[in-house]
Amino acid sequence: MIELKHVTKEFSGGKKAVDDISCTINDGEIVGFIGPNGAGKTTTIKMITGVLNPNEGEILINGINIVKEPLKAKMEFGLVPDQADIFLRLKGIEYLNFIADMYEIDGAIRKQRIHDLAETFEMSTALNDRILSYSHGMRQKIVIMAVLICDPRVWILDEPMTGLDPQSSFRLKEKMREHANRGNTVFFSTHVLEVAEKLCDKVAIINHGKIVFFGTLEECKAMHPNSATLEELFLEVVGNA
Amino acid sequence: MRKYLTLTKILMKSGFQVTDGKSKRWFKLFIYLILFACCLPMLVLLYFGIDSILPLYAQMDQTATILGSMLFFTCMIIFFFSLFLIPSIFYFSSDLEILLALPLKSIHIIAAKFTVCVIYEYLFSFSVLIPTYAAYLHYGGMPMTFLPFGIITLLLIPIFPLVLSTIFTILLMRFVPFFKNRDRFNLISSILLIVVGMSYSLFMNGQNTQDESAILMNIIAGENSLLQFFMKLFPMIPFFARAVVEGSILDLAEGIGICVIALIVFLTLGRFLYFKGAIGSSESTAAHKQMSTKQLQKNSRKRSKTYAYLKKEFKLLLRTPAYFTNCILMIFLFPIIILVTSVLNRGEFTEGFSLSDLLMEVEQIDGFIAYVVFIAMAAGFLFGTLNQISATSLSREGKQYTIMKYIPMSYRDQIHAKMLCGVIGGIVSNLCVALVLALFLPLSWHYYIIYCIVSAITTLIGNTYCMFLDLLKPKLIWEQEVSAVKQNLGAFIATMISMALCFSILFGCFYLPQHLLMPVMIAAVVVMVLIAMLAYILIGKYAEHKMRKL
Repeated sequence: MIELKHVTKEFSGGKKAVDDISCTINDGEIVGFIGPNGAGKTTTIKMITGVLNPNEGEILINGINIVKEPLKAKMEFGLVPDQADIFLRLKGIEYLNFIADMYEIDGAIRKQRIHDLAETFEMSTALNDRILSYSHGMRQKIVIMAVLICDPRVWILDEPMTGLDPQSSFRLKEKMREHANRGNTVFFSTHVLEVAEKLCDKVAIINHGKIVFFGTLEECKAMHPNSATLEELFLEVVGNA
Repeated sequence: MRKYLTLTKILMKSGFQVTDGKSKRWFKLFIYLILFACCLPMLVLLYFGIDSILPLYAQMDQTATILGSMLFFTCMIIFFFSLFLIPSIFYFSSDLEILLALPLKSIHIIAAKFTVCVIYEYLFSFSVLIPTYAAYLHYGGMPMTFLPFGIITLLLIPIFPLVLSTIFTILLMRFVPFFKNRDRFNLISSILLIVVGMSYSLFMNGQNTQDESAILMNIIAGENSLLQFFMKLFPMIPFFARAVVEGSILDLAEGIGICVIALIVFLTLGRFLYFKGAIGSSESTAAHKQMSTKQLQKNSRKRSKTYAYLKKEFKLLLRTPAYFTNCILMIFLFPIIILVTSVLNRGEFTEGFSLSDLLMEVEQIDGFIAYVVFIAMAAGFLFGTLNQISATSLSREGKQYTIMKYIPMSYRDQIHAKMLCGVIGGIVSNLCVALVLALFLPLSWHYYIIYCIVSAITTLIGNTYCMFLDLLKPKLIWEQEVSAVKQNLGAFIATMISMALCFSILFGCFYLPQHLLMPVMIAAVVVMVLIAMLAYILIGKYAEHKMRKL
């Protein structure tokens, strides 16, 4: 579960990137985080994951405050960042093991998971190569695999489908569904409205640093009956904000 | 022409930044002033050096020779270092993929990139030639044209050596595919550069002792005959030197002519060969081999967080050419220099007297052990931090430093692990120094044990302030890894502090009264141990505080 309570982030110069947002993402839910460029999605994710500290409010991950008990809270989630260019001179297998060591994953379990996920994402022949030689999509896959190997209760993914081939994208969505069905939490940002519609239990729409809608897509459609398509719905919600 | 100018402007803006790109204007100015202040003693020294020998050369009718030598020195340094710079700017820069896709002619790209290189090199040529010109003006008797011709020479001098190294690089990239891999190229070229640099220095040392009479004969021959020597390598030098010193417009025209011809040759070659060489240069190659179950088993063992972090740090240091040459090779550089110097000077000891007898006498000196301890302390500060592993550890993360913030490992442990890499590097460096010294100075073995232990303590302290400086102002915005280590002000200041501490300790101990040696040594060791412990704890606390704010 992720709880955001009156969270505000103000950068130097006085601009509020995130302005008093509150929402609760329950166990067993997949929540999509949608918003235009510069709306505050990545800043929010950075605050949830402890990369940035909020100026006001508090963030709890499975009941643990990320600011007060960062280490304990970080063990609860795994993050797929928006930039997948991490430790490019490590081999894929070395990166996976590094992250697994950080999450204290047992050797036998991680070996099995690495094997299975490499098959799933068709990365078996790439694990022994340096990440530097990977394509953008492969870099994205290795970062996703690292989170999946550690299998924390909360998954936070910042635009995870970017660069993935349709097959991998499909499998990732399957994994996200399975994870939520096991009573865990999945929170991800996306620009693809169709993905949000098909995969998410709820969506949070953010614009100018404020959450302008939080609920199911059905609820959103009911509030804006004139919107014929998802794009129109999104534009109306964002436009009315 | 407009495309060329726009591209040059953009490349200049994105290329050279000493600060992190976020700093305020006053801070940038302050940094440049500090850098200038650091270089000032060298410039003053150069001025006085030339000022003192100029009358001597003038008496032998060799007035232009000094300027010729300075121009030659400038050209040689520009040529050698541009062998490094040119591939990274022309072939391995991250902007290349974008530039190749734009509707630009190859001549636009190479001309703009070449101009950027020339402007970079002005920094060096100005710092050598301005003190030289000042000394000539102080000496007097220069023609009216001295300043205008001098400025023209100053502006044109980097062109020829840069053309040479660029043509060399263009040919290499076009016809030797082996070098198209960026990592491979950087690694081989940087190791070669160090080897060539060391060999050149040793060769020149040999030349200085053997051929002094030959050089003197050459000078006595008069009429700037030494300039003929420079002519062979950089043909424009004698013309520029005579033009400035003697005010000869014909020589100036010839010098300019040579630079123009060189530029035309370079642009023509570049026009036909640059694109073919630039397309397809890569950063890394992949084997695409399936891992065996055994390999997977071996690789998937659970390790402690600190061990995993250390392993990751060392792998990145070893595999990134810029870090390998500036950090890892530095661990071994001084032991190798000491080894080579000792081997070369070995004969000098054996001729006059017995070294072992001398060492036995030295060991009997009152307070000899104190000298060993003080030398070890000084060496710990210097050799323990020259690798710059700690001083650049946060900067090396670059824009991806955020991973440090979301992995479940405390900031304190991460910073300690990073610092431990630098400490291990420093200890290995001092261990190698001790081994080399033990080979050539066979003192009792316990002195070397003391050396290793004491130097380890100051190595720890040294790495703590290196780490502190990097935490204080990390350089996280960079395009190429080399900027994280080479254009890092914190690392530069750390090296200055290490050198100051090293020389202060050495200076202090040799001027200390004999009866105070032992008590001061004991007090110094106790204080160093306490500082090391305190510094280790405090850097952890500071890391927690600073990383939260980053």
